[in-house]
Amino acid sequence: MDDDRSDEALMRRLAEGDAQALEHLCRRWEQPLHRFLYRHTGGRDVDDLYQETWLRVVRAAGRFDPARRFSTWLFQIALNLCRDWHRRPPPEPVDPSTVTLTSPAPSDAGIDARRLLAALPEGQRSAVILRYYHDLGEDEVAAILDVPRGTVKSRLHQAMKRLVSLAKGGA
Amino acid sequence: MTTCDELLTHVLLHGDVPPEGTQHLTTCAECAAALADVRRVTHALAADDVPAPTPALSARVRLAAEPLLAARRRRVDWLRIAAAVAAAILPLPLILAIDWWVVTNARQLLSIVLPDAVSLFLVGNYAALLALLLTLTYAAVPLLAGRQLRPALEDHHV
Repeated sequence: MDDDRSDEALMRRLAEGDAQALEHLCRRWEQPLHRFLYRHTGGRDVDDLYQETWLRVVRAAGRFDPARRFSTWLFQIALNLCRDWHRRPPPEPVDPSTVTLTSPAPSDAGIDARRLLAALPEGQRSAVILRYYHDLGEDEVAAILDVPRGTVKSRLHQAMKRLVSLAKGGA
Repeated sequence: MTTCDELLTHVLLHGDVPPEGTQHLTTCAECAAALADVRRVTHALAADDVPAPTPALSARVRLAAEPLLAARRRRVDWLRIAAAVAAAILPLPLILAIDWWVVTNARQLLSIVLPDAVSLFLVGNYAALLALLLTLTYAAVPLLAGRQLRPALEDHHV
């Protein structure tokens, strides 16, 4: 990739207020970021979270360390927003145990993937989304989640067991 | 591939049994039994697609970010102007010392050939002119720096 168009070069320009740099970054990372947010929240408030992620990128552009990967930084920001979002009280009181019962039509072999992901604890869900859907290596997932690589592996193992158990239960 | 967890997690993430796991499956009834369930989950995850973002979303982000970007541009402008002024001020003590030396020597030379009041008037005028030129020059530094910054930022396109 041309140096002038690398994520890091675009971030330098963004730190100077270059609107075109933001546009290029948005275009490049629109799909991965949108998918990540969508899967993490089950499709709720995705547009708001997407916008807030980019606003945080702009606000923190001056503090971006070019020695780091932009994708890691971007997903960290998005993940923090998702964590905040999950901590918010739901608009209506919902009993978590009823979530699987109110599931929409399953998409494959009687299993609804979104319900499965929603039933995972946040750390496991993030690990599965980043590792499975975004095909990131364990090292990058560990950097995004800010945990050791071994923790990523154990979270994936736990997630696998829980997903299988939920699938057997007809999620 | 040494543990059941690693084997089944590999199947979950990649959808296939790794070559080194095939032997394990023939001896581990637990993994063999779980394999079909893990594959069902993998297929379900693979089948789950998400809708693409709407084109309006990018426009919305640009619009929301513009005030932040404008503030960043202003900050950069001020930093560059401050740097230009600092660079211009650096040689000022030397300029003032030279001017002082010229003025005092001119006063001494003129006082030899002219009455004291006249030489004082001439040197005073000269000193005032130097001070005016110096003030105008330094006042122009931030203005010129500001004018040079805009085209530099506008040319900064991909």
